[in-house]
Amino acid sequence: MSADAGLILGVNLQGFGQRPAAWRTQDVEPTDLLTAEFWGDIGRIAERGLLDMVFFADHPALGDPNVRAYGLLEPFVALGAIADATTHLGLVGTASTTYNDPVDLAERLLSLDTVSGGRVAWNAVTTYDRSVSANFGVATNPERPERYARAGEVVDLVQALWRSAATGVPVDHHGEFTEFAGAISVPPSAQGHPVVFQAGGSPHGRDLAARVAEGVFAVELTPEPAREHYRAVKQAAETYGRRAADVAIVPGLSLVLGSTEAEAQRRFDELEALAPDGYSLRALGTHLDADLTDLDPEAPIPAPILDREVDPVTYGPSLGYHETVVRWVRSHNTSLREVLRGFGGYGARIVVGTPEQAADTIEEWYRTGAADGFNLMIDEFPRGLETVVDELVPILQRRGVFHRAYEDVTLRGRLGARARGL
Amino acid sequence: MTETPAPTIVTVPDADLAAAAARPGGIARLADRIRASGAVAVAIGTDRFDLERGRGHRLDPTAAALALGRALPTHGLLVAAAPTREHPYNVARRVLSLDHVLDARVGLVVGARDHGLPVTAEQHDVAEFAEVVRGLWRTWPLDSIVGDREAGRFADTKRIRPLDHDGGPGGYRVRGPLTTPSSRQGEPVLAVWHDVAYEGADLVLGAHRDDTGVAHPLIPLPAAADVSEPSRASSPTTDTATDRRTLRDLLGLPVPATVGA
Repeated sequence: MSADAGLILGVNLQGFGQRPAAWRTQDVEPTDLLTAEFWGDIGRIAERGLLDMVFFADHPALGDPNVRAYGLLEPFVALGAIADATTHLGLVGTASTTYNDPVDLAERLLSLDTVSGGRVAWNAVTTYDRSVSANFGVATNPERPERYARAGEVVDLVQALWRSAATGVPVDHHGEFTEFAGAISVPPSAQGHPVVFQAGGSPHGRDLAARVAEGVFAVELTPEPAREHYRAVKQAAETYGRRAADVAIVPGLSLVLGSTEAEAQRRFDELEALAPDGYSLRALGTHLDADLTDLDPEAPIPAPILDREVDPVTYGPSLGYHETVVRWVRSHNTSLREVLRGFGGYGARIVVGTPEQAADTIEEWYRTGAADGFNLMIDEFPRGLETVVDELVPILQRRGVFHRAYEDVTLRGRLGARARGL
Repeated sequence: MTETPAPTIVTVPDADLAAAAARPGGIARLADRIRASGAVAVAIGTDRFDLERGRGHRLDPTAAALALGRALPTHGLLVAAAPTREHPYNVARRVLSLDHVLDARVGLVVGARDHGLPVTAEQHDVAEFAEVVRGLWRTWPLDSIVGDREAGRFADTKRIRPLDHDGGPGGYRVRGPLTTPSSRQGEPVLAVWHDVAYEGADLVLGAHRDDTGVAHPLIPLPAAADVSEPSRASSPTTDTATDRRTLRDLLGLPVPATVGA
């Protein structure tokens, strides 16, 4: 169970904010996303609020910047800029186990971990997006079992290489996908080596998380399934000889905050009105793996789309999102229009309301075993992050769920201290 | 001999960079030594191209560049990479991203082989690697970002092009475009190590000036003991807000004409 004041809070850095129109509602220059100053300022604000970490997803292929401009910088380069502006903030970057060389990746992540004083985490993903494979000379992405078999091997090899950097004892790896004999010669970091996160919600993904991850970025819309998944991952970790507390479950949580609920709703509506046409519909369609554009908005989403048996081998997109979203749609399916109205988190739980209301949700999930913390998906950067730091964080501290000082300089030291209830 | 001296580039041995990163204040002291060299730019990670020197403690140059580059706000930074294990899409993206966060002061040095690591089964041609990296840098022109808030138009996407590189059997196949737009200096400086034959490079770097005079000389890093006044050297005497010289400015290299065409 979660310890008092052990809530983990991270910030998901999605361009100018989670809302696709965030660049249109603030006084920002589009090219701010390319500067060390912009990301350094975000890091300083997050650190002022004692947040545990910032997080970058990764998509090594260009999407349409007019639909959503984010990911312009490679994640670990942007994290380097944030590292330079901060001293305690954890730095979590995503990198694909399919499209990186494991030895190069091990060197690169440990190097940044050493330079930043032991604050780096690697979010290991397998990458399913079809647009990515073409950038790497592969006709299609491998199917899920192969992707996860490779992911397991790559994570094991990367961690073995990190240990080799500390001990000098060479790795002798002969796997199904990679061969490597040798060591890497990067000096160990203040936390030894980077922390490992994992984000996949499929059975394969959860198994990998239970075996190797110290943190899991989960996809949850409602507390009861969240508690089921939370228990399942912790129990699976125990079957691998780990303690339940060794793996932290951190779902995404979308926030649009205002000083009153009505003000928050106005902000949400304004941001939605300025979003590209059909953005929510496409996001929902992605998670359901169905084209929803020709459906009647006044009718429920047709049962065949929701009832479809998904083959976990050949189904490309995230199974975690699919399962969570289908379950949620079934209980809200009065009409497509109504479903979309509640789908503002694009697959994550959303709070449109006051900081008190956001704190209620966070505290309930944390105290009832649905989450060890949250990866906050904030409407606008930097404005929305300042609201979180100045208004939401003090409420969580007063309620005794969030810390009042950094327990340790390193990310691993802090996650461990929180898990032990220190 | 009346030739104009070329702007000098100093190399940092891998072991010095790794030792600096592992100690508090180490990067600032390394920056003092680099300033004391009188060079306008610094190359990191090039030991890996040398069979004799490429086997000690080291850092990934792209991971160390940001901290060193922020400690040296008016110097250029060249980072080393080889096709031994890395893919050109990943390298192109990281180096161009670095060029943005270090305000157009970055270059890439491509070598044939990273002697610090065993090779993979697939061997790639270094000239093709350099060609793909440079091609990817040219897929998304920076000035296509228009930021029209009223119309909701972030970029003029008609000007973003795929690369569609197909190197045939055993070569790279890379569609593009890159996730990152071109930079204030057009694109990072593309240098090659002296034993690489690639005509598209901006610069050839070598440990010593060779007989042909083609390779740009590299000067060694002064010893720590020879840096007498680190405190003065590290004080911000230059106005970095007005002195925003790019690496191309520092080295006297033109902006490639193809960028933004």
